[in-house]
Amino acid sequence: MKLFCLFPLIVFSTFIKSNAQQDSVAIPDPDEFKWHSHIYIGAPFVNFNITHYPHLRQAFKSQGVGYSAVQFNTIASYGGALQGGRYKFGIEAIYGLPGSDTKKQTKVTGSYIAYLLNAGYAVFFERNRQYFINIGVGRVESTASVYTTDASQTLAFNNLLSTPIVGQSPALVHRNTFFELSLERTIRPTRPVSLNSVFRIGYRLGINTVPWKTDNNILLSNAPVDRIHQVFIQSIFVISKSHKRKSKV
Amino acid sequence: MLLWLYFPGFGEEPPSAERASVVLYRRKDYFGSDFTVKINSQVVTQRFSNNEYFRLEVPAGKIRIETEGDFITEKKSMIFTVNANETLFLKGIVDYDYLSNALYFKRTASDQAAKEMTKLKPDETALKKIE
Repeated sequence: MKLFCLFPLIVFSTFIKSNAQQDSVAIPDPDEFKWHSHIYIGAPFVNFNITHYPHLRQAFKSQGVGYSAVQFNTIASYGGALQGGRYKFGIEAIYGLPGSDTKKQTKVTGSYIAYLLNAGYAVFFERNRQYFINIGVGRVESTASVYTTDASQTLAFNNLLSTPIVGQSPALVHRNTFFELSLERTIRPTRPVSLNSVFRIGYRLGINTVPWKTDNNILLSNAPVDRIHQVFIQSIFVISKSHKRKSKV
Repeated sequence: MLLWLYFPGFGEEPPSAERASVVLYRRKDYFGSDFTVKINSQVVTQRFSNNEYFRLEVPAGKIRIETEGDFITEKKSMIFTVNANETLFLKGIVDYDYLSNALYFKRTASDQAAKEMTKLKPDETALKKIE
């Protein structure tokens, strides 16, 4: 009796075998995914930017402070984005690590921190690669300080606030709202969770000119008025979580 | 009968005496690393790169293709059916991920394959025939 029940099963198995699909290969398909969430991590020393503040440079030069046309920083960045098809929207935080510009008798150090919102459209959208044009708007706070290198001064620690300091500027601060345009090349995610590389090159331009200030209660008179000009190159990692389309019932 | 159920290979058809041809190709791609390609467990090339193709004669029926690269790649295995005297065109598709890339093959129509193969170079190291 049991053998009798087994017979239809064997016949059915034979049928399945003989009518099996010809090819057995499952290639990951990026079009299966409706949207992706991305986390971007940019490590310092492989990500760079150069910044130009024309009027600060001019003001420094008029006082004999050597200051190159462009200032170099290595940067760390963190960001996130949501992508649906060719479109993506994201946020990013960038820290420009302190860089220094040492000339004869003076040294200028500078760093910055920036936050931005951006939106991108993939102009090339292939199986494995995607090229985005991104536009963004953000806020940057740049800090610079200058001191002379040819004279030293002794400062008693218990008189920190009462000893006048010569040859050392207060920290100069410039807060600017900027517009950003960038080109980004990345691998298109094809798996539920993937790790890929991103290469991005872009330009930031201050949308208005604002005066340099200090980060304390010292009021500067005749401070230069500037807008940021910045070019950046980023080679960063992206961790992507991909979400499938809802299947139609 | 129970043996047949427990051992799926039991009773399968022996390799066919009839022959067929398979053409494998990879178009120019961002990921240019070489892959080793095995067909029916036999290494047919160890240096299959992008922008290359090779043609070989195989026994007709089901063929198992395995691909594996050197560095951060995943081994993949796939099965295709090729009829006697048929030429099967298989297009290589690399799936990228920073921690593991993989090479797959996809059955492609002969006219499309002909268009895509116009500028490809032959992989001279590949075998021409397997038994």
